[in-house]
Amino acid sequence: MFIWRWRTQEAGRGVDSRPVPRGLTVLAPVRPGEETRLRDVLRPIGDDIRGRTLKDAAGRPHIDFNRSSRIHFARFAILDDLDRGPDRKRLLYSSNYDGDLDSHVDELIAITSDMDAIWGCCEGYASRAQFGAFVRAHTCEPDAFYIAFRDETVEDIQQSIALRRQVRSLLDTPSAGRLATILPILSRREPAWARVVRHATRTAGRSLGAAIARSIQALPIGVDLLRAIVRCGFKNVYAGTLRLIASLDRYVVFRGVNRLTRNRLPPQKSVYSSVALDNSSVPAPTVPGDEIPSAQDDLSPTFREDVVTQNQLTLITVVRDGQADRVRAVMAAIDSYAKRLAAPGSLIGISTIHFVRWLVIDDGRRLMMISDYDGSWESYIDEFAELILSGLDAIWETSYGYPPDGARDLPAFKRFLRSHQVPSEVFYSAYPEETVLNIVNDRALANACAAMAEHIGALQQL
Amino acid sequence: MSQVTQQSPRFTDDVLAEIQGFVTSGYGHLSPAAYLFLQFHDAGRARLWLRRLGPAITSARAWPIASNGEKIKPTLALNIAFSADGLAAIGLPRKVLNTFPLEFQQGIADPNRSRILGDTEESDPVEWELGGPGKPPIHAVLIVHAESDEGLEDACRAQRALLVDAAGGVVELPGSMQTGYRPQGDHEPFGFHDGLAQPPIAGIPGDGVPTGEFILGYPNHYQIIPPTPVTPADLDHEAVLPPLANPYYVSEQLRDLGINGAYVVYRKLEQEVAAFWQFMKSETVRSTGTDDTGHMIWLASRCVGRWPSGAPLVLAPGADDPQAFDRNDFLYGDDPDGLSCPLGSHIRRANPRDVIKPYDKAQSLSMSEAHRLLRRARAFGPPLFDPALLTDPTNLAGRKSLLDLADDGKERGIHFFCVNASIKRQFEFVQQTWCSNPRFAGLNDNKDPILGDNARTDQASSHMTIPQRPLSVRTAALPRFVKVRAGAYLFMPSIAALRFLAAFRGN
Repeated sequence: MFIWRWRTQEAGRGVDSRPVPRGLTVLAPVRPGEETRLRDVLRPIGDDIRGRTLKDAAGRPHIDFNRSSRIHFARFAILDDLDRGPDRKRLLYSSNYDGDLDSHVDELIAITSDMDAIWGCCEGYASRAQFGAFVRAHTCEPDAFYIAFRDETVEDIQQSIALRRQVRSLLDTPSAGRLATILPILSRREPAWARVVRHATRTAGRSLGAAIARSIQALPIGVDLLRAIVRCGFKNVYAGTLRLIASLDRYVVFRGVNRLTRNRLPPQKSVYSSVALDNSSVPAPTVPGDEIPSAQDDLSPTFREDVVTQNQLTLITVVRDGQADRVRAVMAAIDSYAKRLAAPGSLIGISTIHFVRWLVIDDGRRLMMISDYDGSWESYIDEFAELILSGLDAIWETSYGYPPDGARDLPAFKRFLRSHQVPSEVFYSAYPEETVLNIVNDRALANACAAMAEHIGALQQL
Repeated sequence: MSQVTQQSPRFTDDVLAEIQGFVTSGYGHLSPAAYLFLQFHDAGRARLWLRRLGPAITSARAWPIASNGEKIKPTLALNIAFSADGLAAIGLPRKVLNTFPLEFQQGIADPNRSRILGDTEESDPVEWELGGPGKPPIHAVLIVHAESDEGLEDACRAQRALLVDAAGGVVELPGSMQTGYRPQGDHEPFGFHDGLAQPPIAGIPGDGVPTGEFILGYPNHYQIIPPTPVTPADLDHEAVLPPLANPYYVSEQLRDLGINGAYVVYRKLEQEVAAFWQFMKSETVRSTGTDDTGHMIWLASRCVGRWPSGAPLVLAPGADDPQAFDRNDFLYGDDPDGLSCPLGSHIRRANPRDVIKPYDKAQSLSMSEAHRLLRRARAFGPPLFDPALLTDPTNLAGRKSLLDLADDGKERGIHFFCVNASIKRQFEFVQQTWCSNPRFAGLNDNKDPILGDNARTDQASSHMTIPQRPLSVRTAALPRFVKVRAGAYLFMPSIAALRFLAAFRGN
């Protein structure tokens, strides 16, 4: 038999009772001429993870992510660094981890066979002893950060998966058939009315508790709002927020605001898509300073975000002059919502994102998005367009190259994203077979098992 | 997003006369079908051949009404579709081909497409009879539907005579012809009533799924007209194509090659009928300790999502209900956890209707609408058993024969054709994100038992999971019951575009 050692994870639990996973974004300039060497080091590490072998085949540098117990997702990507020079590059390292930054840095050092081979290609890196200081000097803080499960560590998620597998294999055995005949007998011992009453009181209590907890959680929104107004100006906060919610009439509170302010999507400029007619052409940068687009789509092996379980996206766009505060205001609104209101596993209804963060970088010149999501790239973007149309416009309409009709022109919007996407050299996930929805289900199972274990004390005497 | 059904102005006969009839009709009254796979060897002679063929192509024009008020249905239907290789071989320049979608340009057997479609192992294009690498390329498919076998033979003979006239410019791939038929009671080879959920097309004639989901050049689910393939006006010197109306490119002197056309996917799906029922038997023995044929049918129906009669499980959860055989007016809202119709069943994946977890009803209906397909299938091969025994619980002797169903070495299955406006967003999406997704709807390790890429050596095994009170059950690892034997991504041009392809100023 298996042992239950599961914490209760009711929705009403306090916000900060457990440490929330953190995100790290390091952007470090690559030394001139070191790009090829860096790519040659990173690419096999990425291939290793895809093959999930992580064998140190030829004594080359590697990162043994399998030994890490606190990293949810991690990636390396090589970005253009056009502000430093036409041929310059910078290294992006991004991760979502449990615990504090120091222990994350320590873990990263511990699982990397040759720190110098990777980080030595970057300006400002001296040695692994000083890696912590180097990371701090090159860290960018997110302007908006959504975490699907603020109370789940890597260990929690992996334990839930293990529990589910154990229960499943138990159910697959022939004795499960006998269990299936016993269970209804057990539940018949309780009169039907008593079961209904018990269920009703428990649900009512839980939803009341959840409502109170949500209200308390939501209180700091006022503070967030004030801070955003001070930082970005009232006009930007007002206009940006309205833009975000224009298509979110399905939420009562947003519908109210939209009615009051007569806020809606602007009329469509044309029923025709504005997307380029030549599907084989490589998109050109839309403005100086734009990331040089990688070859289009699946004609090249550059983009392979067509795996059904998990994929990643790194997007970098150039913000129109004078619009930095507007973007920051939009980000502040998303951030506040994500932290204070979003239900576990759902960002305004989108339930395929594990982690996503946006960063306004380069003194407000560029907007970067880093996301770890479920499903193929195509289905991920389709889902965005279905659920948060105006939100997409709010986020990117201030970037150069955005289509005239925004995300409603889905083919043009997809091309806009693809032409600003940077391929990752390394992408690691601690639970690559698990969707957000799977985690929700596994949590429910773990909770049920914990509750059962609590109630069947008699088993201890058996 | 958009309304789930859209009211569109009824299409006029002039427009319908521009659309190939295959797009709007399954030709239900014409059971026998033949598929001729062609290769172009000489662009000039191929265009000449096409010019002669053109007038015989069946359009979507409304069937005339006789004096007694009945429709006069055609006794023969002839349609044609081209692969990207075929358009190149007929002389269409690269810059025109580049305006077709990438997945069409690459073709169904491209490794990128195979990865997405799960065409691996026995379904790997390398193993295909037709359309795979190392085989002569499919340039065009001539689709013939007729009233009788004799009519079909006559029509094929006439088409072959036309090919002889092309003097080697167009040849039929040797031994490639495929034939199909509409089976008795529409029971596909596994024995289930098939082809019930066809979406209506807005405007043809009434309300329906937005026209642009199936026919190019019209607003789609997202209320946008996506780009259609175009050609420079100077190539269309006879001016048979309409000018491109897209305001973003109106100044470029382009003509609309795609409008009123559609994309067609062909897959020859071979069904392992004996293996399918043997699996149901071994699972029945494993879980119940008996070889109860009723339980075998119950289990197979859980995999499909309908009973053999066609009755949907959500309307008849307990037992088959032949009264409900053709019901398609159902939703899953009352069965969110799949206790009546398992979440992992074939029909809940191919069209999840109002329950796409974790979205609400309106969102789910809208998402489902964005991924619909018009199916145009015909069966091939003789049935291995009489499907009537599945729907007749009194036929005990017949049902016993299911237990010993053995493979007879004959191939059988379905010529799967589907019509859509975007192969990537519709056909490939459904195959990948819904059918072959082991995590569909929050499931674990459960792909579509019928169409999923089950039994892959490089992936975890897939198990059909059947939610039940008090405990769910799941099957042993699913084998692949359906193998892909041939395939093509095709463009079915409008009648005007056919005239253009026959007459453009080529090299």
